[in-house]
Parts: sequence; C-alpha cells; structure tokens
Amino acid sequence: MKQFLVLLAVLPLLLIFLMQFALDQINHARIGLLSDCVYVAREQARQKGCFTQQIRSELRDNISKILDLDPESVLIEATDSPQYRIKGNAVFDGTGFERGLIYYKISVPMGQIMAGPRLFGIREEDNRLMFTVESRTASELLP
Amino acid sequence: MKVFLVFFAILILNISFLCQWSDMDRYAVLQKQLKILAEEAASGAALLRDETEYSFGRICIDSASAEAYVEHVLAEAEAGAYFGLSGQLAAELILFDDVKGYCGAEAHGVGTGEPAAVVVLSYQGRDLFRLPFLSVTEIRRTAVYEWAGGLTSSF
Repeated sequence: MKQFLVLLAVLPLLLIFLMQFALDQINHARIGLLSDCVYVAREQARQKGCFTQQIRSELRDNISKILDLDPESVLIEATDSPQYRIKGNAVFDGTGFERGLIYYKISVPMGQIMAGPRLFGIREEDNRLMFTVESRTASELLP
Repeated sequence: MKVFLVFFAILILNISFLCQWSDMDRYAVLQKQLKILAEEAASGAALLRDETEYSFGRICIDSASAEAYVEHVLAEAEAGAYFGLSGQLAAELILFDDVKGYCGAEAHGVGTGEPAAVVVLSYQGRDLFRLPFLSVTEIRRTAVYEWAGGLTSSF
C-alpha cells in the first residue's frame, strides 16, 4: 500500500516530462512549418516588390491550414507598397538600403510552452507562445 | 529510501534528456535561421549590379555595395532574437562575375559565365549545449545566389 501511494505521488511528476517532450516536439515542428510558409511568401514578395494582398491572403490561408489555426489569429505586418530594386552604384548616394528592402513581421500563436501548467501554478495566459518571424528582404522588382 | 533513490535517478535522467533535446531543437533552429540569413545576404548582394560595367555588356557585382549590404544584414540579425544574445556573426563574401573572373567558381557549384555571390556565414558564441556530452560553439552555413544564364538571364 505504501509503495502504491508513493507511485501515485511520483507518477504525475514523471509523466510531465513525457508530456513536455511531446509538446516541445510539436512546437518545434510547427515553428519549422511556419518558417517554410514565410519563406515561400518572402520569395513571392521579392518578385512583386512587396507583400501584395494576394500574397498576404495566401500566406494567411497556408499558415491557418497547415497549423490548424483561425486565419484571424495570424498577424501580418509587412510593406504593402512596391519597393524597387536598388542599383549597386546607388547604395552610397545617402538613401542606403532601406528603400529597396521589404519589411515583414508575421506573428502566430503556437500554443502551450509548458506541459501541466496547473501543477506548477502557471496561468494559461502566461503559458502561451506567440512566435514571430521578423526580417527584411531585398526587392527584385525593376522600376 | 530505495524508492526515493530510484525516483531521483529517473528524475535526473529525464531532466538531462529534456535539456539535451531542447538544446538540440534550438541548434536546429539556429542552423535553419543562419541558412536563411546567408541566402538573404547572398541574394541581396547579387542584385547590386555595377551599372557602368553593365553598359559595356558585362555583369559585375559592385563589391563595395555588396559588402555593405552583407554588413547591413548582419547588423540587423545581431539586433534580432536569434543571434544577438550570446554570440557574434561573421561573413565572408566571395563574388564571381565577368570582371572579377570565375576562378574557383566550380568549387561553389557556380558555372563559368554565371555571375554569383557566395556568402559564408559563421556564428560563434557560448556552447549551445548546456550538458557536457556535446559541445558546439560555432555554426557555419553557406549560400550561393547566381545569375543563371548570365546576360541572357531574365533577371
């Protein structure tokens, strides 16, 4: 009986590790899939000079379909006016690279960070991972 | 006491495994991000064509602008979440074009007559693995961006 009681006390603690391992794997895979979606959209944006409405909606649809999310929860903040490719000699004319770059920031809710949050007293809102991909890319669009 | 010792051993084993696994995940993410960064640097640098040389019918990537662009990309990355916290990024830029020539281009998978920018990025920082079984302090990734077809390219 004593050993059974010890098992009851210890088992949840050990199970947390298994759950955490599974959760880490899921989050890692989801981050990889998100990264692939953003990569495709970024290459399209390079050709078009910005994140057009079509690229945005395709990206939103892809992410929501692959990660099984509400499309409205995918936040896209990106350059929406065409940026033109800068010429080599024009870089040092004072304007720098900024005018030829396309900015993008995509934020997606990824779910829980830690398994068994109640056991550790972690609130649900503190246990959510909002993953953000933010960078710039050079436009290939010719004027 | 025996039960406690067995539990404690399993606990230590689990913590070590979880720690090693999460470090490995982070290592994989850093590798992928470094590759994306190298591609971004190479593709941006390859676009910076020298207009004067182009007017003579040669494709030449402007070295000073390309180097400035790679530095700009690295500076932005170091201010970001992945690479800025615990290490430093360094880049090596190799250019092949109609003016600089194509000596050694084959080693990078670049054909003669196809201008290209090769960027070798390396990230050096503290050990990426917290446990002593593995030790990785440097990651290196390379990206090549070429004007396939040279002047006949629709780029």
